Amino acid sequence: MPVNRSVKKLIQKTTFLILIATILFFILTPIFFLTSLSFLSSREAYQFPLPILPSLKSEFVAEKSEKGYLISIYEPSTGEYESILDTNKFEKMSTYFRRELSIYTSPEKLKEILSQLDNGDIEKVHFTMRKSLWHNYKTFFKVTGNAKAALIRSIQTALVTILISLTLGGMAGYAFARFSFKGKEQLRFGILFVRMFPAVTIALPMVILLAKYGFYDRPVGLSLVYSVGSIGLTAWITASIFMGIGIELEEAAQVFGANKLQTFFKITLPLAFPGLAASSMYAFIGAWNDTVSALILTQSKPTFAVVVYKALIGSTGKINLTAAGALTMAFPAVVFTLFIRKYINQMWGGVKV
Amino acid sequence: MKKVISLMLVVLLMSTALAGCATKETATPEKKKLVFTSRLWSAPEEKEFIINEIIKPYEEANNIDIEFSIATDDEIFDAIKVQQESGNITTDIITAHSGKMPDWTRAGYVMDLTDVVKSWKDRTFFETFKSSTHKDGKQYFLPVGADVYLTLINKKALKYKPEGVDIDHLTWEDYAKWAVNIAKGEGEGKVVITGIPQKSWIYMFGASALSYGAGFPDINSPEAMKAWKIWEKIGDAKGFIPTVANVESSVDPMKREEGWLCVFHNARVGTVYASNETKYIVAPAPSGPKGIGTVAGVSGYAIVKGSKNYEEAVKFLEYLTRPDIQTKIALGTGGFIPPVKEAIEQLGDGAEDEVIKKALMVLEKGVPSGVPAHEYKDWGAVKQIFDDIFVEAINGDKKITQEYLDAKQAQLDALKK
Repeated sequence: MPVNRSVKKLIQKTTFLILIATILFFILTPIFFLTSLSFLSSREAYQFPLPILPSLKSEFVAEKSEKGYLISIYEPSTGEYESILDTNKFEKMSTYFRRELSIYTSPEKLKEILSQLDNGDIEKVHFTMRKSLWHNYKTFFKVTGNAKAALIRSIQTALVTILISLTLGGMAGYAFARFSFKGKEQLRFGILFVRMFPAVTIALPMVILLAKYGFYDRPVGLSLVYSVGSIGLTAWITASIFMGIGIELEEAAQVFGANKLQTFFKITLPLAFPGLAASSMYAFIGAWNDTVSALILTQSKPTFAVVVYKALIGSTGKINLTAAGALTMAFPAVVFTLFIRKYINQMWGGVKV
Repeated sequence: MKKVISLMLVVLLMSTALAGCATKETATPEKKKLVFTSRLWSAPEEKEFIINEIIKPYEEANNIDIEFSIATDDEIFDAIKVQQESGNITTDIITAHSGKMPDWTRAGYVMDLTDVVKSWKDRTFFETFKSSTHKDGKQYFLPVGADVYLTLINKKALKYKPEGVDIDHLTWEDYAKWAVNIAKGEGEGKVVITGIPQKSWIYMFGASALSYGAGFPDINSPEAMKAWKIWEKIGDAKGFIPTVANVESSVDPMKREEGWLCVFHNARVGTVYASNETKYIVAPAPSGPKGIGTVAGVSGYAIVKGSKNYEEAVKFLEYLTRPDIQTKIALGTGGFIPPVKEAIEQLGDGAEDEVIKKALMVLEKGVPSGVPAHEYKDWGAVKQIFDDIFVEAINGDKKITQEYLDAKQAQLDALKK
């Protein structure tokens, strides 16, 4: 009997672990693939099968040809050399190495290597060159106009969105949780209706409205538009959190001499922090990732999402660069989420802060 | 700890709120600035080249900042529309495609550059695109980066080439035979077209239809029927790559060597060719009884009406349209044709020059047609009709019959303005 029970436990545990491993595999594989892709050279990104990991260096062989020099690259998947370039222009070779192979080498350096073939003593010259792993990221920032300023604008937009959403949504949430008034239920559902309309549907009339008040093409204008959807959701999340905080705690604080404001800021608000953190995460990600509305609502001062989008409009034939752009875009959102993770954990009965 | 974090967050939020509400961004007042938005050179390496090799030297020589960005034709038009309606003109120069030029001139968003062009004695713009760049005898756009259709062949396809076929004088019949041979020999099709709806299939088919003397867009004429039959032959032999329905751009499957034959845009041909010129052959688009058909377009620079920096914009356009700069741009951006006579004379014998020369040959000796998008209510819907024919008949089970094409032509005619 005990043996049977331990076998049963072992089977259950193994099944559970297999399930967790499968879920992790499906979640992590695309992320790993995208990350690996962002470090591949353009040539590697179009090979079949696709390399699992980017190479750190490439081996070449060069020989004299009618046009100048025939350069071939070693292909690990076939174990053979494959021709890539046939020219006598060293400037062109240098550009090709950078664009297609992510190798930074000067025309002079290539000339020096290939000149060994000129006196006819040797037929072939072998050489190895290191790859720049960050080439796609460098290229991405080179072709994104004013990325740094756009990044700052995006952070401003997201944080102002959080500020507006938490202030108004949080107050509404507290009111829903603590007060009874006529039409409370209808209003509670009503504030969610605005979420039925995607931001883009209100973006065009918003252009006229924002321009009228001087907020067009400015982070604060974008924040106002994003807040329309965030306020309702914040109110719902915070209302449920405030409802979960016992009113007895507030009454106890007031018994000990705290006024309503002190009670709210010293007792209720700290306990509601996980809900506020979750709301701010939604607001941040919504504002951070939006491209469509930002395209319409900005002109000379685009957000980072717009800059990324515009940089990648013509990335046809450059999936590695697209991957680099996608990861660059996702990175701040990941950092923000990791930062507030422990607060959200409390909602699920996690560690106390 | 919690208090510190809370305090930091409050300070951060307040400061960003204030910064977000700030109206002015720091700028060096004495330095002039031009805002230039282009639909051309969207490929990252093209954009990088334009910024570093074309714009930067000009900025340094003229003590000016040029804010350069890429957007689609529609995005640029919408942005300028907002600027014109609000009276707040922040863009100085735009680059638009010939298909969109009538919208610009009709709306009156661009300036008359006739006298400016007359004062430049060292350059002669092609007459080919005059109908797009001019309106009522006045020139509004300065042409740059003309495009036509070329054939790109992976050398792996050479063993299936029909007997006696000259690649530089390929006919559509040869092309179809070649595609069928490959499909039979490899057990899989190798012809690439953009199968995702509303992409370039209409232009690919258009090139073949124009070769037979059809118009563009034209579905049911006897000449168009001949072109449909060419594509039907390829479809019947399962000559298209298996993933054809998912192809958004011909560049990817051609680069991956999934596809071996394709007739597409010269600049995109240049992109694939530049990735490994030892692997591919570039040729003019196939010909028909009427010659080499191609849908041709051009882009054009224009100065936005109401630009606050008109003098500087003219000066910059003078620089951009110089023959040597036009040649430099064409060679650095993978195969666009510089539409300036004196620029063509400066071409050399490199791989990029070869792509440009072949494209130029198609433009000069071919049967080109522009994109009459402005004649239709919705060009996307026009594209969709051609896409439907591809899905239903060319790559599907339906047969290309006169009745079928007549029905599709009726749909097309209904979209006319």
